[in-house]
Amino acid sequence: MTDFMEISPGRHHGKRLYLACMLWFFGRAVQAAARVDDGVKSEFAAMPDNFTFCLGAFPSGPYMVVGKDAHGRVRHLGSSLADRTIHLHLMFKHPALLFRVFAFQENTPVANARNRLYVLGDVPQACAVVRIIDMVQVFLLPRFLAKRAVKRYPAWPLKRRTLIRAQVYARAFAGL
Amino acid sequence: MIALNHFLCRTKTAFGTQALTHLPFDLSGMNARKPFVITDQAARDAGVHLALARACRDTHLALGVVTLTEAGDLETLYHLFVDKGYDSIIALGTGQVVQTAKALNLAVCHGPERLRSPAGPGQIKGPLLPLVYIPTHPETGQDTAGETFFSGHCFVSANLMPDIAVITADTMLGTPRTAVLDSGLSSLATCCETFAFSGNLFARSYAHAVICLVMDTLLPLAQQSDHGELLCQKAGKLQQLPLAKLAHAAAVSGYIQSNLPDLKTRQAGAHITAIHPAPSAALSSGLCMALALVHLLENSKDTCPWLGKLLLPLTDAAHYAGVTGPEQPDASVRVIRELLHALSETLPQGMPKTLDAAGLTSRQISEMSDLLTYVQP
Amino acid sequence: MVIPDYYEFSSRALIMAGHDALEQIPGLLLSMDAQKPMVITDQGVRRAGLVDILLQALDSRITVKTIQDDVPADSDLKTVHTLAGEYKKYGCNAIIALGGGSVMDTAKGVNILVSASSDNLLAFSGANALTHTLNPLVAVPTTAGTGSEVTRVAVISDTDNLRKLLFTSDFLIPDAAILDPRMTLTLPAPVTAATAMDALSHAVEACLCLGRNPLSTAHAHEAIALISHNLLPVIRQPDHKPGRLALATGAALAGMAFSNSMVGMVHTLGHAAGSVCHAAHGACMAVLLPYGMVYNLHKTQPLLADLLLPMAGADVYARTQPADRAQKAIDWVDRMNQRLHQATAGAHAVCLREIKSQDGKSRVTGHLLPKIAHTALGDGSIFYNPEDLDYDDCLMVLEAAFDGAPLDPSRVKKG
Repeated sequence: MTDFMEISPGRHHGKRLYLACMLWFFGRAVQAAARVDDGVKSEFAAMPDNFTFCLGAFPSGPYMVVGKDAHGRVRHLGSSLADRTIHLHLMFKHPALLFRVFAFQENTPVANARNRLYVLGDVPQACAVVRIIDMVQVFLLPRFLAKRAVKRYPAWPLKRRTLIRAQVYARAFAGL
Repeated sequence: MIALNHFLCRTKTAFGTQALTHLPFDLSGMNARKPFVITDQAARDAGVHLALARACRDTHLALGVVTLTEAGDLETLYHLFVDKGYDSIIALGTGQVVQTAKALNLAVCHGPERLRSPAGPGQIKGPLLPLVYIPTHPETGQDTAGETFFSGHCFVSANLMPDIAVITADTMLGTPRTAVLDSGLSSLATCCETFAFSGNLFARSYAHAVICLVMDTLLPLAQQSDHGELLCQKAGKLQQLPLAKLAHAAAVSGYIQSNLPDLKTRQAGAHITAIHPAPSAALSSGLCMALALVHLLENSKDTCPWLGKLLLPLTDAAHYAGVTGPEQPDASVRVIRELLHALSETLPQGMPKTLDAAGLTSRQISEMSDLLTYVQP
Repeated sequence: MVIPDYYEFSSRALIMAGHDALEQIPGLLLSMDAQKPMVITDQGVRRAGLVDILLQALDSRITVKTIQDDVPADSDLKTVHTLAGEYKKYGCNAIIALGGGSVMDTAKGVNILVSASSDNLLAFSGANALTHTLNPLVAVPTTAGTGSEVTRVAVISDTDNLRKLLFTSDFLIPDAAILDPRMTLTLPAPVTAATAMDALSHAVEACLCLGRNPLSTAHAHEAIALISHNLLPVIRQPDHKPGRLALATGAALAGMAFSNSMVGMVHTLGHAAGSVCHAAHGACMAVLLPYGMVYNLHKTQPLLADLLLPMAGADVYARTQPADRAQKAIDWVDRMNQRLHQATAGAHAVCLREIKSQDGKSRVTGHLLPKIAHTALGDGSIFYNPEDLDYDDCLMVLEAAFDGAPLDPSRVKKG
């Protein structure tokens, strides 16, 4: 005789909520940095208008969607993929793996090297998005955490480290 | 280099932290949406299936989990699998769990009647369903090899190799020390023989990595527990990672076995186990293989092409380069002997370090001389 | 042994390596019920008579439906679509890819389309976009370098949109890789040198980059030893079959290694130089490899030191002080380039400026370096490099490599 049971997948509500909050704020910070920081601006400038990308987890999120509208304006578009054409997906293979990155247990380059990420879309654009994510992480995180999050902590000028950073924070909170 | 070398490893090896969480994505890449998990009572009691279920949280995967309670219930598994529409198999365990999973895969894809007669290489055509292997103990390489034994029949096909071997500390259970030694020595013997004698550079590359893994892991793991066996239901955190590394080594040595089926140490191990009067638990197959390996290397010093180079994976680059070429073969054998000695020290009752000490008569040893001597092709 | 926290290793191709390996193809195709293959190759391979050798090795059980030899030097989207149409027209059920990296990548692209019955290759670009097993594909490399016969990657140019499409999936790994020295016996010395250095760069980067793991490192070390022991002897004696087989095996081992660990800045810059200037990939790799090693030296010193053993052998390794081994490995690659330069009467480039087209003109010119640096930032391999690279870093390395000047490690930014 064999013992048989069925297990439905279920959800990890706590981690999903944490990730949703982090992605929401991070998306607003990307939008803010695209307005005030030349480095982020120039990365977005090279992308076509009406370009939308998402960062998220397989198979069903959570997601962060960011797009550049027809006028070249960068906007955080929330967390839903519905009714949108996404040109570039930057996806972690499992929400738990995305969680590791947002809980600073593993940085993005290492997660990438460990095959925890996959990309659907154009690789040069994916490279640009990763650089944007790196820059925004440096804006948002204290130095000791940012050093763990990026491969090489950048030597930015004082203005970028202070004034621009403050603007990114303020705009991210205000949603500007 | 030998006239023709083949190598085929169908299995993707995934090792390490959060390895289980990669599984839903990998299964979807194989169009598998409804996996059927086969496990055993020990894994079930320790809740290892729940670790797998946790990895499937926030995904689309619903699991059917069946616990093997006795041998020969393949028919029940077959009907459960077919009636409930499963599309892939996860073997969560070792040994019988994996053999049953492979047999179920054959039965589902080729009909249950396929299991009534054995099948040699090339006789099982066409792909099988996705099969994932998640070991709960280090084993001896049989699980990842392209073969299975069922109802007294042997079935051989590279398609029987798992598609993915997910090896992680999270699923490692407490393992008796004898089983740890059996696994480590079996992997070591398989891979040392491959490295020292085979011209198949693909097999040798895998063997190199396995030898390093075993040399790094086996002795420290054996030394960790002062009193007897690691028999707890769930291995302690300290043991889980080295156990996973040994399981990793065993899985890769299974890939090598699939490609080099005529390894002398394996044949010698089976032969000694068969003729030895003591119960097999007292003299594990892995130990027999290791003892046979020492004989094989000693007897073949003059004909063994890469015995000296074996010192490199057995030690490290600095040690290897520090020993002169003519001294390297002896040094290689010495390292293996020293390992056996040190392992013996960890056991209260010790263990034999030569075939003679294991109780084999000189006649028995001489009768198997062809398995203990390498002849250049 | 340092084991990463997590890694994957997969190399699903059946490898057959030997002096009569081609003769194994009929049995192999029959075992896959694939008796009607299409041969995809290029005109250079055909002119070299390699198609004839392949056809002689196939017996009457196999019916080659069509031989397509129009693959360009850079595999492109149009060719892939055209060949997929031919595959269907002739009712083929398998592909034999006979050629170098471009032929392999084209064959992989064709196989995606014909297996999915699709006419839109773009739908499958990116990482892991494939979810089904493809039709049988047998890869027969005619250079010992790219390792494409065992890799899970294909790069196909979209010339209309001036971009390169990357496809990665385990399903792209060919069913079989046939390594037969007859396929590389007639390779000219400069091509032998450049392709072998390409393979060496795969192996070295596989050991240094962020995705390294014990299995990829073991494969890479074996590859380095094979290439270092056999390259110069084969250049001196091109018809040395065991040496040719060893180089082919080394290239496949290096392919298995880097397909799992991925590659770094040597390929980042090399891909960009190839894309902007159409410089030969192998030549770019040979030039850039020592620069990549120097750039990453501060982050990979022990790993680089380990490479000295398979490169230079036990005696040199033992004679060198541990602290000097990494630099010695870099010097070894430099010296290998110099020796190849001499052995090929200057045809093997030792700096980017020396990489020439067939009419003898320099492929890489100084004013294109900024464009190469900019293009490099869009290459996915940049993320696997141990140290970060921005535009200025890329340009610094390219400028040094252009003239063959040493790269000053103190100029490398170390966050």
